[in-house]
Amino acid sequence: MDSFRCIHAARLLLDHQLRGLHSAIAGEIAPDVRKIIQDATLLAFEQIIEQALAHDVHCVLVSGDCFDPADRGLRGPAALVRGIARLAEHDIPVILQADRSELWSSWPAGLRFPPNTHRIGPGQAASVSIARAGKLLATIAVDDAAQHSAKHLPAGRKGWHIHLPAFHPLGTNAPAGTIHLPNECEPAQGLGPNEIGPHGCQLIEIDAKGELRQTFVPTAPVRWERFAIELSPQTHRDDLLQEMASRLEQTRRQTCEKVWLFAWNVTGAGQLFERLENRSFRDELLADVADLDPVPGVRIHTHALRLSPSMPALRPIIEREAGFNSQGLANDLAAEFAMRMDERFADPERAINACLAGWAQAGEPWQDKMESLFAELDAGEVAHDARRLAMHWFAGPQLDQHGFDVHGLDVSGELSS
Amino acid sequence: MKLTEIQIDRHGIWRNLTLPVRANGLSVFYGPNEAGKSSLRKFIRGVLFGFSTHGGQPESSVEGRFSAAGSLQIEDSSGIRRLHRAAVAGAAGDARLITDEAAVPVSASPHGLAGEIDEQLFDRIFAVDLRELCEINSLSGDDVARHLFGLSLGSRGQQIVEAKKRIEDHRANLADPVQQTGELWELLAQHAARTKRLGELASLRDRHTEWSLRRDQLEREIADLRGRHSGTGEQLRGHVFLERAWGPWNRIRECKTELDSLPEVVDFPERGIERLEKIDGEIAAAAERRDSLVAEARHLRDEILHPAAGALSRRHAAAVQGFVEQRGWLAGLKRQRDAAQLKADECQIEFEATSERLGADWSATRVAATDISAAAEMRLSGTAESFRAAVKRRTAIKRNCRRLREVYCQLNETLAESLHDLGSNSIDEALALARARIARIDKLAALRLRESELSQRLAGLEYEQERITPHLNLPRWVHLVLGVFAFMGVILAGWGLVAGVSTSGIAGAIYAMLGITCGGLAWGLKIQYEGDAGNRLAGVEGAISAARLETRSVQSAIGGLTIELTGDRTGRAALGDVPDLLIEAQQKIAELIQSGVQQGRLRALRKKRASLRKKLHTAHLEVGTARQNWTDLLSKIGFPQTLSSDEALASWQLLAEAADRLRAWKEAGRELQMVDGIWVNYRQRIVELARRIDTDPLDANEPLDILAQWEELLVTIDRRRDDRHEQRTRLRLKQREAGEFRKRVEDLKLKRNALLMQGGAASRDEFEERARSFARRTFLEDQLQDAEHDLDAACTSHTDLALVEEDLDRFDAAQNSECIETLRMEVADLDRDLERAFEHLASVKREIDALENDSQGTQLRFEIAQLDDRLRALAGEWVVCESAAQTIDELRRDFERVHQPEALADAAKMLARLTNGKYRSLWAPLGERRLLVSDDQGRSFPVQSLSRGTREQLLLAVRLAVVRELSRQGISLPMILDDVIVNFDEERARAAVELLQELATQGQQILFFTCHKHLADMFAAHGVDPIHLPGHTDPAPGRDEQRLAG
Repeated sequence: MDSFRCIHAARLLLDHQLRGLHSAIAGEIAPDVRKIIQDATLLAFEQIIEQALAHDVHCVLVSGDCFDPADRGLRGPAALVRGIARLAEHDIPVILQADRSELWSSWPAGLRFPPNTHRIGPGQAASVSIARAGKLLATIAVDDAAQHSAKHLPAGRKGWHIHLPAFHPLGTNAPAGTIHLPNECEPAQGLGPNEIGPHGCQLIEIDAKGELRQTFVPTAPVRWERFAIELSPQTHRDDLLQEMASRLEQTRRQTCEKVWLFAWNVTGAGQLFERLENRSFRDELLADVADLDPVPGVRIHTHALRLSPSMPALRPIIEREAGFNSQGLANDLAAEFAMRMDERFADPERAINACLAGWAQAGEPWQDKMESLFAELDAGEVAHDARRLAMHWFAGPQLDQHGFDVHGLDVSGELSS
Repeated sequence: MKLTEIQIDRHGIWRNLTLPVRANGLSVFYGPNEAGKSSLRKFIRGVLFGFSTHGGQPESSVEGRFSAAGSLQIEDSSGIRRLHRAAVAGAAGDARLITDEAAVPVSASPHGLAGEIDEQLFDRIFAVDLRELCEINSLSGDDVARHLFGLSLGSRGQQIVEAKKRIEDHRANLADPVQQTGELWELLAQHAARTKRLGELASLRDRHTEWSLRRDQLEREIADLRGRHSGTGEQLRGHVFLERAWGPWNRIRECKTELDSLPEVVDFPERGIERLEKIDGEIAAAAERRDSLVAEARHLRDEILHPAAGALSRRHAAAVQGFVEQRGWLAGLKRQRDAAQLKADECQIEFEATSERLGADWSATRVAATDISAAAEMRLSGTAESFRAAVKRRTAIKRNCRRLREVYCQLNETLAESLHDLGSNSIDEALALARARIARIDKLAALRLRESELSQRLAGLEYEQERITPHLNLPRWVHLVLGVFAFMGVILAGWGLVAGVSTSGIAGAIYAMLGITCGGLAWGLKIQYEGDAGNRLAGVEGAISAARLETRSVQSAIGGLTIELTGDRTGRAALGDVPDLLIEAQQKIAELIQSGVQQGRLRALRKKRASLRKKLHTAHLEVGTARQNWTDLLSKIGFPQTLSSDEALASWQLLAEAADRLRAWKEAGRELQMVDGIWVNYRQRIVELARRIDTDPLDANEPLDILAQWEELLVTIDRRRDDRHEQRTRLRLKQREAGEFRKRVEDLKLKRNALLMQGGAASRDEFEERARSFARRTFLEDQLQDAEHDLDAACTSHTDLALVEEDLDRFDAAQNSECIETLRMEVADLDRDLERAFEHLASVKREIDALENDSQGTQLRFEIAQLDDRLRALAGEWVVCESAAQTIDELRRDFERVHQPEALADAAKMLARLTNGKYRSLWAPLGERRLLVSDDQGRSFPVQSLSRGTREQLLLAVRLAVVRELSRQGISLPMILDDVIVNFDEERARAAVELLQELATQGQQILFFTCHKHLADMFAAHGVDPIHLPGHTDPAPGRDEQRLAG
């Protein structure tokens, strides 16, 4: 035996849909892009199967949830079965290890796993033997964190326990012919805006000397990215456009990637910065960025653009130097408002519950949904947005030199981005 | 301003009523229903602000409808005065302020008395009854709201209100849970709809499970069917094996039995019978052939010895052979002769046809004699061309002559008609007359213009005359003055005469001079005023006379010219407009000029016709010469002279064609003659030879037939010779073959005997018997071997099956076949079932695949994810708005707490007193015109939610507070309350009485009307004695009843 090869993929979540894609600033998604995004997890899994066949691996390890039971769909489990069946044609076993023991209880009753499928974990088999041509290559089991964490894995983390009888004695990294791998590798497809960068699986190779080598294999067709750009007051629109295109061009594309979803964090000040708060200006700029086609073969879609001023806003004046009147109120009403909002959100949970109470007064039918949405809110962001909006509410609409409503049109976009 | 006395002259039911009122403090008027309390209140209001039609005048009043009059004694800083107002017929009435010095009218606006208070504010605040007290809207007017709601919020309040509005607008755009509208609401609805749809799609999993169960069931069924198929197949195989094995086994058994019964024949020639049969057959055939050959040889010898007669003699054979060899050439010669004959006939026919077209007198001799050379043809065509050209030229000249004659005649007729209209005058004369007429018309136009000018001048002069004439009539007074002067002149002159005569001459002279002076002065003045006008009038009259004279002269000249132009001496004929006449005359001149042009053209045509006539004569001469030459040439050729040039040329072509045909005919005749000579020579020679040969009688005229017969004869001679040679050869062969067959018969007989001896038989019958036994044995042995081979093959193909002798013994072929058939049907049924099951399984798998690949759920979850993102953003936005709204409400409340108007604060205090501390706070929301009240527990209520009594207490407190606020602003009017505390409970009524009494003590004059005894007693208990309004009856018309209160 020359070497032992396997592919380790995690959190396939087949047919699960990407989150955080839609925001107020994001325009309509093109139909072809939409199709790719919808099938992103399935395409990533297909790519994993292709890579497994291309590298002639001895087995495929899958950690984490292969599908989301809450989706209650058939497409994901069916895709999993199809992929495993393809590997079965080449006698490649697939070992599934779920984080949740109840995952398999949600498995569609009508779907049958091919014979090369091995589920291990609580209530399932404890280990799986990998053999080829009648020769035992490895024994794979879920790593016992209690037993090995001190030596091989960080405390509290689970992993794979691969025993290779043919490699005894092994190298220093794997004494006694046993390899311990953490099972928390990157998901095959990033599902949210925070999972930036290329995603895929790990090709694990253990050579004849027992040396372990892990290679990242990109599989995700959709890639999330986030860039920060700083604007100076002298920055022109074309400069910004070129800067954005340049950032995109400098980003290395993986061959499997078809769609890039971008978020831009723009900080700075000046006229261009203020104009970015105008929706039509912003949409036009983002459309121009996409039209530049900076990465051939990849569709660019901007899903978020966050504006953060580099200097404190002139209004509202939060500081107390505006003074107080005889009744103890701040002379500047906007400042008073901001101050009270700060006080209100000093206890974010109470503040949000107060809002929910306002919603509940109407006895509307979507109370639960709203509660769940409110629970996901970031109180700091809400307070921040409220302070910014105070400028609009207490100042009224202001037009820039181009006639755009600097504040008015930005209200929703700023909040959402 | 305070009332001290009410004096009603007439108002409502009141007549001549005088009521004293306390200037300071509370006055309570008590009276039963319909005692006139409301009327009294309205009277006070009417005197202050004017009576109105609905201001309390009872419509039932018979006399003085809408009339009211009376006065109020008032006391203010200016002292005590009386305000009187009387209204008639619905008018507001004029008010007068009566003081000790004078009664001065008060302007329509009583501001001088009531300050800034107008009648609406007075009605809403100062003078109210219970109904008006409860009208909350009456507090919303600007005049009241100014004091209650603080219309000017200040910049801070305004900022709060605007910010609140923006926040609420923004929040409402996002979601309005009450109205169930807004973007967030719509998204939630969409989210719920998609979630519901996704939930419905969960049934796909159930369907998938069902289909999967169905698939598993089908697979189990297929496995079962396969098992049954296999078992039935095995059974069928056993039966088939038995069937296959039983046949050979049975044959083996039968063969062995028969072999045992057959005699033993150890050796027997192979195929002995066949060979014996063959030898016998060969012997018979050889003998028969031998006999046949002998007979044929005999016959051939006879034929050779006696050949057939009638052969051609060898002497003529060579000659015949020579002619026969030339038969082809002779046949070609005959065809050549026939063709020459045919061609000669055709040429003759063609020539005759052509000569017939030329004419009956055109024979071949004449045609041959005619010169048809090219020169003759050129001569003919040239002469014809000359003749045709001459005729054509003459025809053209004739055509020109004819056309010119037509034009000339037409022009001549037109000109003749024109000249006929002119009479005997020539065109030049007519032209001169027309031009003279134009001159007259021009003169007539000038005269008419002059006449028009004169008439206008005359009208102007007459107007001037009329205008001047009135100026001659001096005014009557001038004449009177002049007459007086003249009369005085006469009197003085007469007096002077008398005085001069009677008293003194000087005096008389003086009087006379005075009289003359007066008369002269009168005369001079008359001349002075009327002289210029008279002169101007005379001048105008002279001008009028001259103008009339000239007008008459002009009119007579116009008449003369009219007669000349119309030719009517009576002058009655009407003459049209001068411009029309002028145009008509100019048109006539134009026509005459045109006629002159036509006349010149006619002369030119006449000259041209003469020239053409000369040319036509010359052309006639040329045509005659050309015709003579033509006829001469035709007669020379032989054609009739009457032929035209085209006909002559056509005849010439026919003649040339006839000459060509004639030449061809002659050539064909010569060729025919030559070929015919050769043919006749040969024919004679063949006939002669035939006669010499003396064969069958032949047609002497057909040498080719003779030659054909001779050729056949020669062929017969050659064939007979060859036949004889062949017969001899065959005779020899037959004789040799006959000898060979004889020898063969002998050999075969020897061979037969040897075969019989080999078979151990002496005769043929014995040999055949032994041969049959041997063949049967051999056959059975072969059969046995085959059967054993078949049995081995059957056993080899079914190695897993064993043969049992007993089964073979019991084997029934029919029964076994029936079993096989049954089993095969069962297998076929199982095959069909399997096929159906597989088809069903395929369809189930397709359904399963469709369900597994169904992307509706994916689509919906994608959309839900998008909606979740959007909802999350909007929810955050809504929380921001809601928090901001709550915060801005806090700001507003703080602002309201410290920025309530003073009147509202007073009202709150009064309300607290009226409600005995139950309701302590009263305020108006920022920027709104509505009141909220808080109870002792801090709960806030809108006014509308209060009980009736509490609401009346609140509204009374508000009005009292506004009155106090106005009082602080220097506006002081008496307050008139008409039973406004009737719904208060006793405790609160007492509190109200105390409050009113306190306000009265503070200087506010209050007039309180009530019809309730307990209220009057309550006031009395508090030291305010009520004034009892007197009862009354309807006063009789014209009779006033004085009623005194008290």
